[in-house]
Amino acid sequence: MLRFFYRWLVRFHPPRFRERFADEMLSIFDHAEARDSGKLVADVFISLARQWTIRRAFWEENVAPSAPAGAHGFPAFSILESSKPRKSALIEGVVLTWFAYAALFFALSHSKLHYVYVPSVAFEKVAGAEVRIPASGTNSTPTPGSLPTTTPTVSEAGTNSQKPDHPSLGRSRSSPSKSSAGSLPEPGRFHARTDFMGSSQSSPGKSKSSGPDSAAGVFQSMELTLGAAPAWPQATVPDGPAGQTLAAWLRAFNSGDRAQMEEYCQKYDANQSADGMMSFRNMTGGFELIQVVEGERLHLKFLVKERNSDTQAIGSLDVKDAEPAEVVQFGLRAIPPGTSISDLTFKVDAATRSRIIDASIAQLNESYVFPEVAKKMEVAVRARQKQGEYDAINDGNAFAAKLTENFQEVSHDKHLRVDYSPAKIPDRPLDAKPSPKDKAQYRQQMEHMNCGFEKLEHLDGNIGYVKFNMFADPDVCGPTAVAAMNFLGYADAIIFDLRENGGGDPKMIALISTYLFEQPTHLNDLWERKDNSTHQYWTLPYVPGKRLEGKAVYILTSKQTFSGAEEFSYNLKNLKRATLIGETTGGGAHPVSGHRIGDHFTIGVPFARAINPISKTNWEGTGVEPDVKVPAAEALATAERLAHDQKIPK
Amino acid sequence: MKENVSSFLPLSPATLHILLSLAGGDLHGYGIMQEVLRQSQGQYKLGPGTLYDNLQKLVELRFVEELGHRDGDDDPRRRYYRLTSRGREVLAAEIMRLQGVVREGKLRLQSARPRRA
Repeated sequence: MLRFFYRWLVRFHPPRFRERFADEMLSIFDHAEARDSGKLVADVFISLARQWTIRRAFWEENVAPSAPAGAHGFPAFSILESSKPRKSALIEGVVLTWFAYAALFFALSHSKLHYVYVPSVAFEKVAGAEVRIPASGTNSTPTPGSLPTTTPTVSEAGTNSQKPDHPSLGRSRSSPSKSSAGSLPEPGRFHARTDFMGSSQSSPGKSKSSGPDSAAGVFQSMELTLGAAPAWPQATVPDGPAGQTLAAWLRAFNSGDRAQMEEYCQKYDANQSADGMMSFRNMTGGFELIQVVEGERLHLKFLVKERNSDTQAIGSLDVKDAEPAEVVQFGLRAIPPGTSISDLTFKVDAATRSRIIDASIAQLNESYVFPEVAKKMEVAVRARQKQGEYDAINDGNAFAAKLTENFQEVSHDKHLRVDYSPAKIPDRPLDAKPSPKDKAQYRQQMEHMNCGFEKLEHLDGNIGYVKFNMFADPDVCGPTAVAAMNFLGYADAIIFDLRENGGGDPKMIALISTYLFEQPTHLNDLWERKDNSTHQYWTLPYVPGKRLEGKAVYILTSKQTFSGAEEFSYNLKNLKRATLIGETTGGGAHPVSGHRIGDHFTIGVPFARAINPISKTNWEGTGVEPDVKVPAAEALATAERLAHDQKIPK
Repeated sequence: MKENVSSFLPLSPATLHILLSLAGGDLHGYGIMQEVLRQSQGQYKLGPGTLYDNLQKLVELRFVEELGHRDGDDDPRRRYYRLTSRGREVLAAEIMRLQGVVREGKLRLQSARPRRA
């Protein structure tokens, strides 16, 4: 079939070229491997265009003899053949064309996600312009991408951004106390083990959080050209404050230019940071806008596709009407393949609201680390429910954010959060182990973000510097951590940059800490409410490579340093093994596990608490105090100076 | 003749590879494609459309001549091509030029070693 097509295309070349090379081209097609035939067909198309356009010099004189045929009114045919086609051939052509169109439109109207994805028109032109969205789908089918983009959504004004990809739940980036970014319970991706201190339970709902900095969307690729297809309804990106804000965000994000990102954060959204945007940009390569699902003056919901992979994400943006607009809520989260538009536009009704409230309270009573606090949360939320505070909320994100805020007002526990997922969350048994597919996805994500390791440097004065933004599961990321620690093997002093580290797996904390001690050392304990048991964490008996005992250690912290990263800092501070430099950390010491509480909702319930073997307490709510208090931005320079002054180990 | 050849430089990658593949002996079209693939360690895949487009030009310029079919070939449709002395000349000139580029490149890259700020 393909061969027939190929031969047919070859025959349409200019006569002189055809006479000389047609047989040879066909011979090559016959000799080439079957898997290359697609490429050969593409090649012949290009060749056809080339020979008929820019190679006139080679065919003009030969064409002359057949030219008169053009006078009969079939110029296209006359060039190729000297005789006119039969009438019946023309009729057959019409019928064939009709069938081809019918098949194409049939396929279009039965595709699942309805969006158009066309690269290339800058957003500026689009904001306010019409964007066509095919009612009947087209292009690419969503497939799972490699990205960790499970970015959450989130938050209220004042809340903070969370870093994408930080494993810990509910990591909040700046102002503590407020509710924070949402997380993504993505069925099938990255759940298990993403939380702080690796709770062993990996329920489907386990989520991972990240934050607005990760939000992304790109209008760059809106398609205007498709407007030609009349059968498609249109979606409009309103030219209001929300549209403008998103346009600005997209421009800054896709520019890859730090200065532009900073300008955006200052102007529209103080909760995002240029650092966060930058690292998320590097991870995703930017986003292409696929479709605007909901477009209002102050609210947008849109579908984007990551440039680095096929991962798609749903974004939502709410702004306050001001000049310039102020971002109230901005989030993005990855969606699993096959998600339909009806899932994405899911509205919360009264029955769902009451079901979710009941289910979250039940989960809290059953496993929240402090039962009496769980009771208090129940009382507070029931009172609000009675007063009808939730009645008007029909947006999933807003409802999850509101519940999170109300639970946190009582518990002040930043690990506790309710999350909304636009995609349906599969109902799996609570104790289900992560499937091989989950594991493969986790591995792929870790590989994609290099296990959170961002920088490794040898600084002047033989100081080793490592920056990593999560404590990933050593099962997957052990080799990366071992390689990083060995790179630092000959340094006189080590700087751990945890300023953007949102935590992770206590096993990784133990692995990295082991390099800093010669003797077995007791690092931390985790007490679990469920069976009133305490699990001790110690350095490991063996790690590959050179240990760094005796070398000066500095840890850089910020108020975004959270969860497992705080444990690492707190452990070493109490063991007097490190000097902490920077800001007081976020303050979350309760490992969390995720539970599915509805088709679209999960709750992350802190079920245990850290207990330091030396201080007998932890940093929950207070954060870890640095030894040297300086703004996070100055922490590295300060550490370098201290390391130089102190010179060499004692 | 020399000065006349240099006006064809630099050669496009396709032209360069085709001439280079024929420098080793006469080949048919498919042979050229495979030889180019081998020479470039699989990096440069020449499609038949591009190949014959270039052969058409090269024959016109008399850098390559067409030998016609060969008896005993396993596919009688194949025609063989040969590098002419003029083609060999232009190829040699191009290689000389590339040597200069490589030399210059090595010098520049060595002096521009990255420094850490």
